[in-house]
Amino acid sequence: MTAMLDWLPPDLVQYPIRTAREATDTAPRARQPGVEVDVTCVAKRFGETEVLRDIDLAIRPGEFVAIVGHSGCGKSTLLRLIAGLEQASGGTVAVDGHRLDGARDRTSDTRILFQDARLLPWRRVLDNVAIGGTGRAWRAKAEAALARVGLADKAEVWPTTLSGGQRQRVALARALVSEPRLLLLDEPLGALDALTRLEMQSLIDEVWRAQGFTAVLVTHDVGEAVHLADRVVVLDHGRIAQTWVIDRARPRPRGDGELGRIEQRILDRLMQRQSA
Amino acid sequence: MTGPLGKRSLGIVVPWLLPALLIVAWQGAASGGLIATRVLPAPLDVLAAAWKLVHTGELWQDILISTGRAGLGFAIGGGIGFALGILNGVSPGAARLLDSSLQMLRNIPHLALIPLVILWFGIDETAKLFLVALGVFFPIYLNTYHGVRTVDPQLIEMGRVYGLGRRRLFFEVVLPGALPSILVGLRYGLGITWLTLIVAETISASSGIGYLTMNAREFLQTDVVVLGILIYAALGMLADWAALALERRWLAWHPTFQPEAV
Repeated sequence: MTAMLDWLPPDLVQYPIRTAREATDTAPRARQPGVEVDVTCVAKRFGETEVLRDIDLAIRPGEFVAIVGHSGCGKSTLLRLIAGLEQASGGTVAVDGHRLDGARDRTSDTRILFQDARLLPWRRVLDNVAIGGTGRAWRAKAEAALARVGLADKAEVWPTTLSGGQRQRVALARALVSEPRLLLLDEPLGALDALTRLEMQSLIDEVWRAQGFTAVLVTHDVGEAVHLADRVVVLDHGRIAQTWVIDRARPRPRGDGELGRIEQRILDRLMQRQSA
Repeated sequence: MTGPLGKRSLGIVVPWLLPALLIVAWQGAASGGLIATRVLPAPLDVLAAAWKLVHTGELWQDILISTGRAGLGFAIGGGIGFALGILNGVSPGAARLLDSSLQMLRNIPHLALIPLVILWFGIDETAKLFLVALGVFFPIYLNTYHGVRTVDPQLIEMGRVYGLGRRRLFFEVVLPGALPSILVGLRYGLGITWLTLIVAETISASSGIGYLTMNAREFLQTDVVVLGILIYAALGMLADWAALALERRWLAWHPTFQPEAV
Protein backbone atom coordinates (compact mmCIF):
# COMPACT_ATOMS: atom_id res chain seq x y z
CA MET A 1 0.00 0.00 0.00
CA THR A 2 2.75 2.43 0.89
CA ALA A 3 4.64 1.38 -2.25
CA MET A 4 1.65 2.36 -4.34
CA LEU A 5 1.62 5.81 -2.78
CA ASP A 6 5.35 6.37 -3.19
CA TRP A 7 4.86 9.21 -5.64
CA LEU A 8 2.83 11.26 -3.15
CA PRO A 9 4.56 13.76 -0.85
CA PRO A 10 5.22 12.07 2.48
CA ASP A 11 2.74 14.10 4.51
CA LEU A 12 -0.04 13.10 2.15
CA VAL A 13 0.88 9.46 2.54
CA GLN A 14 0.39 9.87 6.25
CA TYR A 15 -2.89 11.64 5.84
CA PRO A 16 -5.32 8.72 5.76
CA ILE A 17 -3.58 7.06 8.68
CA ARG A 18 -3.85 10.23 10.75
CA THR A 19 -7.53 10.77 10.12
CA ALA A 20 -8.21 7.25 11.17
CA ARG A 21 -6.32 7.85 14.39
CA GLU A 22 -8.05 11.13 15.12
CA ALA A 23 -11.41 9.56 14.55
CA THR A 24 -10.69 6.89 17.12
CA ASP A 25 -9.28 9.48 19.51
CA THR A 26 -12.38 11.62 19.63
CA ALA A 27 -15.04 8.97 19.36
CA PRO A 28 -16.11 7.55 22.71
CA ARG A 29 -15.33 3.87 22.82
CA ALA A 30 -15.31 1.15 25.38
CA ARG A 31 -12.42 -0.78 23.96
CA GLN A 32 -9.35 0.85 22.52
CA PRO A 33 -7.10 -1.24 20.35
CA GLY A 34 -3.51 -1.51 21.41
CA VAL A 35 -0.54 -0.49 19.33
CA GLU A 36 1.99 -2.63 17.59
CA VAL A 37 5.57 -2.56 18.85
CA ASP A 38 8.48 -3.53 16.63
CA VAL A 39 11.93 -3.94 18.06
CA THR A 40 14.35 -4.78 15.29
CA CYS A 41 17.97 -5.79 15.75
CA VAL A 42 18.33 -3.45 18.72
CA ALA A 43 21.58 -2.99 20.60
CA LYS A 44 22.20 -0.70 23.55
CA ARG A 45 25.57 0.26 24.95
CA PHE A 46 26.40 2.45 27.91
CA GLY A 47 29.97 3.45 27.21
CA GLU A 48 31.90 0.20 27.00
CA THR A 49 29.28 -2.10 28.43
CA GLU A 50 26.86 -3.68 26.04
CA VAL A 51 23.53 -4.06 27.80
CA LEU A 52 21.42 -5.35 24.90
CA ARG A 53 22.25 -6.88 21.54
CA ASP A 54 20.39 -8.46 18.63
CA ILE A 55 17.01 -7.93 20.19
CA ASP A 56 14.16 -8.72 17.82
CA LEU A 57 10.75 -8.52 19.33
CA ALA A 58 7.49 -7.96 17.50
CA ILE A 59 4.51 -7.32 19.73
CA ARG A 60 1.02 -7.59 18.28
CA PRO A 61 -1.58 -4.94 19.08
CA GLY A 62 -3.26 -5.82 22.34
CA GLU A 63 -0.72 -8.47 23.27
CA PHE A 64 0.57 -8.88 26.84
CA VAL A 65 4.28 -9.61 26.79
CA ALA A 66 6.35 -10.24 29.90
CA ILE A 67 10.12 -9.92 29.96
CA VAL A 68 11.90 -11.86 32.69
CA GLY A 69 15.53 -12.30 33.56
CA HIS A 70 18.18 -11.78 36.21
CA SER A 71 18.82 -8.32 37.56
CA GLY A 72 21.10 -6.49 35.19
CA CYS A 73 20.11 -8.60 32.17
CA GLY A 74 18.90 -5.46 30.41
CA LYS A 75 15.16 -5.98 30.76
CA SER A 76 14.47 -2.54 32.21
CA THR A 77 16.65 -0.96 29.54
CA LEU A 78 14.61 -2.69 26.85
CA LEU A 79 11.45 -1.27 28.39
CA ARG A 80 12.96 2.22 28.52
CA LEU A 81 13.88 1.91 24.85
CA ILE A 82 10.29 1.08 23.98
CA ALA A 83 9.18 4.01 26.16
CA GLY A 84 11.48 6.33 24.25
CA LEU A 85 13.32 7.22 27.46
CA GLU A 86 16.55 5.83 26.06
CA GLN A 87 17.81 5.68 22.52
CA ALA A 88 19.05 2.49 20.92
CA SER A 89 22.72 2.35 19.98
CA GLY A 90 21.78 0.21 16.99
CA GLY A 91 18.64 -1.10 15.33
CA THR A 92 15.20 0.45 15.49
CA VAL A 93 12.28 0.62 17.85
CA ALA A 94 8.93 1.42 16.29
CA VAL A 95 5.68 1.97 18.13
CA ASP A 96 2.50 2.02 16.07
CA GLY A 97 4.60 2.21 12.93
CA HIS A 98 6.45 5.34 14.09
CA ARG A 99 10.15 4.96 14.60
CA LEU A 100 11.35 6.35 17.92
CA ASP A 101 14.30 8.55 17.11
CA GLY A 102 14.64 10.71 20.19
CA ALA A 103 13.11 13.85 18.73
CA ARG A 104 9.38 13.29 19.01
CA ASP A 105 9.57 10.05 20.81
CA ARG A 106 6.82 10.05 23.39
CA THR A 107 3.19 10.05 22.52
CA SER A 108 0.19 10.31 24.76
CA ASP A 109 -0.48 6.72 23.74
CA THR A 110 2.28 5.35 25.91
CA ARG A 111 2.15 5.24 29.69
CA ILE A 112 4.56 3.73 32.17
CA LEU A 113 3.95 2.19 35.54
CA PHE A 114 7.23 2.55 37.41
CA GLN A 115 8.55 0.38 40.19
CA ASP A 116 7.91 3.12 42.70
CA ALA A 117 4.60 4.87 42.22
CA ARG A 118 6.23 8.28 41.62
CA LEU A 119 3.25 10.24 42.88
CA LEU A 120 3.75 13.94 43.44
CA PRO A 121 3.59 14.26 47.24
CA TRP A 122 2.31 17.84 46.99
CA ARG A 123 -0.80 16.94 45.05
CA ARG A 124 -3.81 15.15 46.42
CA VAL A 125 -4.53 11.72 45.04
CA LEU A 126 -7.07 12.83 42.46
CA ASP A 127 -4.81 15.65 41.25
CA ASN A 128 -2.05 13.09 40.85
CA VAL A 129 -4.27 10.91 38.74
CA ALA A 130 -5.32 13.91 36.65
CA ILE A 131 -1.74 14.98 35.88
CA GLY A 132 -1.01 16.03 32.33
CA GLY A 133 -4.52 17.15 31.42
CA THR A 134 -6.84 20.03 32.21
CA GLY A 135 -10.52 20.70 32.25
CA ARG A 136 -13.60 19.21 33.76
CA ALA A 137 -13.88 16.31 31.31
CA TRP A 138 -10.36 15.20 32.10
CA ARG A 139 -11.07 15.41 35.80
CA ALA A 140 -14.16 13.28 35.40
CA LYS A 141 -12.03 10.71 33.61
CA ALA A 142 -9.52 10.82 36.43
CA GLU A 143 -12.29 10.22 38.94
CA ALA A 144 -13.52 7.28 36.89
CA ALA A 145 -10.00 5.83 36.70
CA LEU A 146 -9.60 6.18 40.45
CA ALA A 147 -12.91 4.43 40.99
CA ARG A 148 -11.74 1.73 38.58
CA VAL A 149 -8.86 0.84 40.90
CA GLY A 150 -11.15 1.00 43.93
CA LEU A 151 -9.81 4.16 45.55
CA ALA A 152 -12.58 6.65 44.85
CA ASP A 153 -12.81 7.42 48.57
CA LYS A 154 -9.14 8.45 48.70
CA ALA A 155 -9.45 11.20 46.08
CA GLU A 156 -8.74 14.05 48.49
CA VAL A 157 -6.00 12.59 50.69
CA TRP A 158 -2.26 13.19 50.41
CA PRO A 159 -0.29 10.36 48.74
CA THR A 160 2.05 10.06 51.75
CA THR A 161 -0.81 8.70 53.82
CA LEU A 162 -1.39 5.76 51.46
CA SER A 163 0.07 2.28 51.75
CA GLY A 164 2.48 1.01 49.10
CA GLY A 165 -0.21 -1.03 47.38
CA GLN A 166 -2.64 1.88 47.35
CA ARG A 167 0.03 4.16 45.90
CA GLN A 168 0.68 1.72 43.09
CA ARG A 169 -3.05 1.53 42.42
CA VAL A 170 -3.18 5.31 42.18
CA ALA A 171 -0.27 5.13 39.73
CA LEU A 172 -2.21 2.60 37.69
CA ALA A 173 -5.23 4.89 37.65
CA ARG A 174 -3.00 7.75 36.52
CA ALA A 175 -1.76 5.60 33.65
CA LEU A 176 -5.28 4.67 32.63
CA VAL A 177 -6.79 8.17 32.47
CA SER A 178 -5.47 8.87 29.00
CA GLU A 179 -6.67 5.47 27.78
CA PRO A 180 -3.18 4.43 26.72
CA ARG A 181 -2.67 2.14 23.78
CA LEU A 182 0.62 0.91 25.17
CA LEU A 183 1.19 0.33 28.88
CA LEU A 184 4.73 -0.38 30.01
CA LEU A 185 5.11 -1.92 33.45
CA ASP A 186 8.58 -1.66 34.96
CA GLU A 187 8.51 -4.13 37.87
CA PRO A 188 5.57 -2.23 39.31
CA LEU A 189 4.79 -4.85 41.93
CA GLY A 190 8.36 -5.59 43.03
CA ALA A 191 8.14 -3.63 46.26
CA LEU A 192 4.72 -4.88 47.37
CA ASP A 193 3.94 -7.62 49.86
CA ALA A 194 2.84 -10.98 48.46
CA LEU A 195 -0.88 -10.59 49.05
CA THR A 196 -1.10 -7.06 47.66
CA ARG A 197 0.91 -8.25 44.69
CA LEU A 198 -1.65 -10.93 43.85
CA GLU A 199 -4.46 -8.37 44.12
CA MET A 200 -2.62 -5.98 41.85
CA GLN A 201 -1.98 -8.75 39.31
CA SER A 202 -5.70 -9.49 39.13
CA LEU A 203 -6.46 -5.80 38.76
CA ILE A 204 -3.94 -5.37 35.95
CA ASP A 205 -5.29 -8.46 34.19
CA GLU A 206 -8.84 -7.15 34.53
CA VAL A 207 -8.02 -3.69 33.23
CA TRP A 208 -5.99 -5.06 30.36
CA ARG A 209 -8.82 -7.35 29.29
CA ALA A 210 -11.33 -4.52 29.52
CA GLN A 211 -9.31 -1.91 27.63
CA GLY A 212 -7.30 -4.00 25.20
CA PHE A 213 -4.09 -1.98 25.25
CA THR A 214 -0.74 -3.53 24.45
CA ALA A 215 1.15 -4.34 27.64
CA VAL A 216 4.83 -4.98 28.23
CA LEU A 217 5.69 -6.15 31.73
CA VAL A 218 9.21 -6.32 33.05
CA THR A 219 9.47 -8.49 36.16
CA HIS A 220 11.77 -10.81 38.03
CA ASP A 221 8.79 -12.75 39.33
CA VAL A 222 8.38 -15.61 36.85
CA GLY A 223 5.06 -16.63 38.40
CA GLU A 224 3.71 -13.15 37.79
CA ALA A 225 4.90 -13.22 34.18
CA VAL A 226 3.31 -16.59 33.52
CA HIS A 227 0.08 -15.56 35.22
CA LEU A 228 -0.37 -12.37 33.22
CA ALA A 229 1.32 -12.66 29.85
CA ASP A 230 0.43 -14.08 26.46
CA ARG A 231 4.11 -14.47 25.82
CA VAL A 232 7.06 -14.63 28.18
CA VAL A 233 10.44 -13.53 26.88
CA VAL A 234 13.47 -14.72 28.83
CA LEU A 235 16.34 -12.29 28.59
CA ASP A 236 19.86 -13.42 29.38
CA HIS A 237 23.05 -11.39 29.08
CA GLY A 238 21.34 -8.84 26.88
CA ARG A 239 19.91 -11.35 24.43
CA ILE A 240 16.60 -13.10 24.10
CA ALA A 241 17.26 -16.63 25.33
CA GLN A 242 13.79 -18.12 25.17
CA THR A 243 10.24 -17.25 24.27
CA TRP A 244 7.21 -18.97 25.77
CA VAL A 245 3.73 -18.61 24.37
CA ILE A 246 1.09 -19.03 27.05
CA ASP A 247 -2.41 -19.41 25.71
CA ARG A 248 -4.36 -20.33 28.81
CA ALA A 249 -7.84 -18.87 29.21
CA ARG A 250 -8.31 -15.86 31.46
CA PRO A 251 -8.76 -15.11 34.22
CA ARG A 252 -6.16 -17.70 35.02
CA PRO A 253 -6.70 -19.57 38.28
CA ARG A 254 -3.88 -19.61 40.82
CA GLY A 255 -2.17 -22.97 41.09
CA ASP A 256 -2.91 -23.98 37.50
CA GLY A 257 -0.78 -27.06 36.79
CA GLU A 258 0.21 -26.20 33.24
CA LEU A 259 1.23 -22.66 34.20
CA GLY A 260 3.19 -24.10 37.10
CA ARG A 261 5.12 -26.38 34.75
CA ILE A 262 5.98 -23.51 32.42
CA GLU A 263 7.07 -21.40 35.38
CA GLN A 264 9.29 -24.23 36.61
CA ARG A 265 10.95 -24.62 33.23
CA ILE A 266 11.63 -20.91 32.90
CA LEU A 267 13.07 -20.90 36.41
CA ASP A 268 15.22 -23.92 35.51
CA ARG A 269 16.57 -22.03 32.54
CA LEU A 270 17.38 -19.01 34.68
CA MET A 271 18.94 -21.05 37.50
CA GLN A 272 20.97 -23.15 35.08
CA ARG A 273 22.61 -19.99 33.86
CA GLN A 274 23.52 -19.10 37.39
CA SER A 275 25.02 -22.48 38.27
CA ALA A 276 26.95 -22.67 35.00
CA MET B 1 -13.80 13.87 80.63
CA THR B 2 -11.88 16.86 81.91
CA GLY B 3 -8.65 14.85 81.86
CA PRO B 4 -7.47 15.46 78.29
CA LEU B 5 -8.85 19.00 78.24
CA GLY B 6 -7.05 19.91 81.46
CA LYS B 7 -3.90 18.31 80.12
CA ARG B 8 -4.20 20.32 76.94
CA SER B 9 -4.61 23.70 78.60
CA LEU B 10 -1.76 22.77 80.92
CA GLY B 11 0.32 22.07 77.80
CA ILE B 12 -0.40 25.60 76.58
CA VAL B 13 0.38 27.20 79.94
CA VAL B 14 3.59 25.35 80.79
CA PRO B 15 5.92 26.93 78.19
CA TRP B 16 4.93 30.40 79.45
CA LEU B 17 5.60 29.65 83.11
CA LEU B 18 9.31 30.35 83.06
CA PRO B 19 9.16 33.65 81.15
CA ALA B 20 6.35 34.87 83.40
CA LEU B 21 8.31 33.92 86.49
CA LEU B 22 11.38 35.68 85.13
CA ILE B 23 9.45 38.91 84.50
CA VAL B 24 7.95 38.82 87.98
CA ALA B 25 11.41 38.28 89.49
CA TRP B 26 12.82 41.07 87.33
CA GLN B 27 10.09 43.47 88.44
CA GLY B 28 10.61 42.46 92.06
CA ALA B 29 14.37 42.90 91.88
CA ALA B 30 14.06 46.30 90.17
CA SER B 31 11.41 47.60 92.60
CA GLY B 32 13.35 46.25 95.54
CA GLY B 33 16.43 48.16 94.39
CA LEU B 34 18.51 45.06 93.66
CA ILE B 35 19.06 46.23 90.09
CA ALA B 36 19.90 49.85 89.38
CA THR B 37 17.46 51.52 86.94
CA ARG B 38 20.46 52.66 84.88
CA VAL B 39 21.43 49.03 84.31
CA LEU B 40 18.01 47.53 83.73
CA PRO B 41 14.71 49.36 84.21
CA ALA B 42 11.74 47.51 85.66
CA PRO B 43 9.33 45.88 83.19
CA LEU B 44 6.62 48.34 84.24
CA ASP B 45 8.93 51.25 83.43
CA VAL B 46 9.55 49.81 79.99
CA LEU B 47 5.80 49.50 79.56
CA ALA B 48 5.36 53.10 80.61
CA ALA B 49 8.00 54.23 78.11
CA ALA B 50 6.19 52.29 75.41
CA TRP B 51 2.92 53.91 76.37
CA LYS B 52 4.46 57.38 76.17
CA LEU B 53 6.02 56.76 72.78
CA VAL B 54 2.83 55.27 71.42
CA HIS B 55 1.01 58.38 72.52
CA THR B 56 3.37 60.75 70.78
CA GLY B 57 3.14 58.54 67.67
CA GLU B 58 6.91 58.27 67.58
CA LEU B 59 6.93 54.52 68.15
CA TRP B 60 4.64 53.65 65.26
CA GLN B 61 6.60 55.92 63.01
CA ASP B 62 9.86 54.17 63.85
CA ILE B 63 8.39 50.69 63.63
CA LEU B 64 6.90 51.52 60.27
CA ILE B 65 10.19 52.87 58.94
CA SER B 66 12.21 49.89 60.16
CA THR B 67 9.67 47.40 58.85
CA GLY B 68 9.64 49.19 55.52
CA ARG B 69 13.41 48.96 55.25
CA ALA B 70 13.36 45.30 56.22
CA GLY B 71 10.62 44.52 53.72
CA LEU B 72 12.17 46.40 50.82
CA GLY B 73 15.69 45.06 51.45
CA PHE B 74 14.32 41.56 51.81
CA ALA B 75 12.27 41.86 48.64
CA ILE B 76 15.25 43.08 46.61
CA GLY B 77 17.83 40.61 47.95
CA GLY B 78 15.39 37.73 48.19
CA GLY B 79 13.97 38.41 44.74
CA ILE B 80 17.38 38.42 43.08
CA GLY B 81 18.48 35.38 45.08
CA PHE B 82 15.32 33.48 44.18
CA ALA B 83 15.59 34.35 40.48
CA LEU B 84 19.26 33.37 40.28
CA GLY B 85 18.64 30.20 42.28
CA ILE B 86 15.91 29.14 39.87
CA LEU B 87 17.99 30.10 36.84
CA ASN B 88 21.05 28.18 37.99
CA GLY B 89 18.96 25.25 39.14
CA VAL B 90 17.22 24.90 35.81
CA SER B 91 20.10 25.74 33.51
CA PRO B 92 23.42 23.93 34.00
CA GLY B 93 25.09 26.45 31.68
CA ALA B 94 24.10 29.39 33.86
CA ALA B 95 25.16 27.46 36.96
CA ARG B 96 28.62 26.83 35.50
CA LEU B 97 28.96 30.50 34.69
CA LEU B 98 27.64 31.98 37.93
CA ASP B 99 27.63 29.54 40.80
CA SER B 100 31.33 29.39 41.68
CA SER B 101 31.59 33.19 41.63
CA LEU B 102 28.60 33.48 43.93
CA GLN B 103 30.02 30.83 46.23
CA MET B 104 33.20 32.87 46.52
CA LEU B 105 31.30 36.04 47.38
CA ARG B 106 29.31 34.12 49.95
CA ASN B 107 32.38 33.76 52.12
CA ILE B 108 32.58 37.50 52.70
CA PRO B 109 30.55 38.32 55.82
CA HIS B 110 28.24 41.04 54.59
CA LEU B 111 28.54 43.05 57.79
CA ALA B 112 32.27 43.32 57.13
CA LEU B 113 31.35 45.51 54.19
CA ILE B 114 29.88 48.25 56.39
CA PRO B 115 32.86 50.63 56.12
CA LEU B 116 32.93 50.16 52.37
CA VAL B 117 29.19 50.59 52.10
CA ILE B 118 29.35 53.85 54.06
CA LEU B 119 32.06 55.06 51.69
CA TRP B 120 29.95 54.12 48.68
CA PHE B 121 26.52 55.22 49.72
CA GLY B 122 27.08 57.48 52.73
CA ILE B 123 24.69 56.84 55.58
CA ASP B 124 21.39 57.22 53.78
CA GLU B 125 18.70 54.64 52.98
CA THR B 126 20.61 53.00 50.12
CA ALA B 127 23.36 51.80 52.43
CA LYS B 128 20.90 50.03 54.73
CA LEU B 129 18.91 48.52 51.89
CA PHE B 130 22.09 47.34 50.21
CA LEU B 131 23.31 45.61 53.35
CA VAL B 132 19.98 43.94 54.03
CA ALA B 133 19.59 42.84 50.43
CA LEU B 134 23.12 41.44 50.37
CA GLY B 135 22.60 39.56 53.62
CA VAL B 136 19.31 38.06 52.46
CA PHE B 137 20.52 37.20 48.99
CA PHE B 138 22.74 34.27 49.90
CA PRO B 139 20.49 32.10 52.06
CA ILE B 140 17.65 32.50 49.57
CA TYR B 141 19.89 31.88 46.57
CA LEU B 142 21.60 28.85 48.06
CA ASN B 143 18.43 27.18 49.26
CA THR B 144 16.52 27.85 46.06
CA TYR B 145 19.38 26.51 43.95
CA HIS B 146 19.80 23.50 46.17
CA GLY B 147 16.04 22.90 46.22
CA VAL B 148 15.70 22.94 42.45
CA ARG B 149 18.75 20.77 41.98
CA THR B 150 17.57 18.10 44.38
CA VAL B 151 14.07 17.65 42.98
CA ASP B 152 13.65 13.91 42.48
CA PRO B 153 14.71 13.24 38.85
CA GLN B 154 12.35 10.28 38.80
CA LEU B 155 9.41 12.62 39.33
CA ILE B 156 10.63 14.82 36.49
CA GLU B 157 10.90 11.78 34.24
CA MET B 158 7.40 10.75 35.28
CA GLY B 159 6.12 14.24 34.43
CA ARG B 160 7.65 14.02 30.97
CA VAL B 161 6.20 10.57 30.34
CA TYR B 162 2.79 11.81 31.44
CA GLY B 163 2.84 14.61 28.92
CA LEU B 164 3.87 17.70 30.90
CA GLY B 165 5.51 20.39 28.79
CA ARG B 166 8.43 22.45 30.09
CA ARG B 167 6.20 25.10 31.62
CA ARG B 168 3.90 22.73 33.43
CA LEU B 169 6.84 20.56 34.44
CA PHE B 170 8.39 23.58 36.14
CA PHE B 171 5.27 24.79 37.91
CA GLU B 172 3.83 21.39 38.82
CA VAL B 173 6.93 19.36 39.61
CA VAL B 174 10.13 21.39 39.96
CA LEU B 175 8.88 24.40 41.91
CA PRO B 176 6.73 22.49 44.44
CA GLY B 177 9.57 20.01 44.85
CA ALA B 178 11.99 22.82 45.64
CA LEU B 179 9.57 24.63 47.93
CA PRO B 180 10.56 23.03 51.25
CA SER B 181 14.15 24.10 50.68
CA ILE B 182 13.11 27.55 49.44
CA LEU B 183 11.08 28.11 52.59
CA VAL B 184 14.06 27.17 54.74
CA GLY B 185 15.97 29.87 52.89
CA LEU B 186 13.12 32.28 53.48
CA ARG B 187 13.23 31.77 57.24
CA TYR B 188 16.99 32.12 57.32
CA GLY B 189 16.73 35.21 55.18
CA LEU B 190 14.16 36.81 57.48
CA GLY B 191 16.42 36.25 60.47
CA ILE B 192 19.34 37.85 58.66
CA THR B 193 17.16 40.75 57.56
CA TRP B 194 16.48 41.87 61.13
CA LEU B 195 20.01 41.19 62.28
CA THR B 196 21.47 43.28 59.47
CA LEU B 197 18.94 46.04 59.96
CA ILE B 198 19.72 46.33 63.66
CA VAL B 199 23.41 46.72 62.95
CA ALA B 200 22.85 49.13 60.08
CA GLU B 201 20.37 51.30 61.99
CA THR B 202 22.51 51.36 65.09
CA ILE B 203 25.54 52.56 63.18
CA SER B 204 23.89 55.22 61.10
CA ALA B 205 20.31 56.30 60.99
CA SER B 206 18.12 59.28 61.57
CA SER B 207 14.94 57.28 61.96
CA GLY B 208 13.79 53.77 62.81
CA ILE B 209 14.04 51.60 65.91
CA GLY B 210 17.83 51.62 65.82
CA TYR B 211 17.85 55.40 65.83
CA LEU B 212 15.30 55.40 68.66
CA THR B 213 17.50 53.24 70.86
CA MET B 214 20.76 55.01 70.03
CA ASN B 215 19.14 58.34 70.70
CA ALA B 216 17.79 57.08 74.02
CA ARG B 217 21.26 55.84 74.93
CA GLU B 218 22.62 59.36 74.63
CA PHE B 219 19.97 60.60 77.05
CA LEU B 220 20.49 57.60 79.32
CA GLN B 221 16.90 56.46 78.79
CA THR B 222 17.56 52.81 79.53
CA ASP B 223 13.84 52.02 79.45
CA VAL B 224 13.58 53.13 75.82
CA VAL B 225 16.72 51.17 74.92
CA VAL B 226 15.24 48.01 76.42
CA LEU B 227 11.97 48.76 74.64
CA GLY B 228 13.79 49.01 71.30
CA ILE B 229 15.48 45.68 71.87
CA LEU B 230 12.15 44.06 72.74
CA ILE B 231 10.53 45.54 69.64
CA TYR B 232 13.28 44.12 67.45
CA ALA B 233 12.71 40.74 69.06
CA ALA B 234 8.96 40.99 68.53
CA LEU B 235 9.33 42.00 64.88
CA GLY B 236 11.75 39.16 64.24
CA MET B 237 9.34 36.75 65.88
CA LEU B 238 6.42 38.04 63.84
CA ALA B 239 8.40 37.54 60.64
CA ASP B 240 9.26 34.01 61.69
CA TRP B 241 5.64 33.27 62.47
CA ALA B 242 4.63 34.54 59.07
CA ALA B 243 7.19 32.23 57.46
CA LEU B 244 5.92 29.33 59.54
CA ALA B 245 2.35 30.09 58.51
CA LEU B 246 3.45 30.01 54.87
CA GLU B 247 5.14 26.67 55.47
CA ARG B 248 1.96 25.27 57.03
CA ARG B 249 -0.03 26.46 54.08
CA TRP B 250 2.28 25.52 51.23
CA LEU B 251 3.72 22.36 52.71
CA ALA B 252 0.45 20.95 54.01
CA TRP B 253 1.27 17.83 52.00
CA HIS B 254 4.55 17.32 53.85
CA PRO B 255 4.50 14.51 56.41
CA THR B 256 5.79 16.96 59.04
CA PHE B 257 2.62 19.00 58.80
CA GLN B 258 0.14 16.18 58.75
CA PRO B 259 -1.74 15.65 61.99
CA GLU B 260 -1.39 11.90 61.84
CA ALA B 261 -0.91 9.36 59.12
CA VAL B 262 -3.85 6.99 58.83
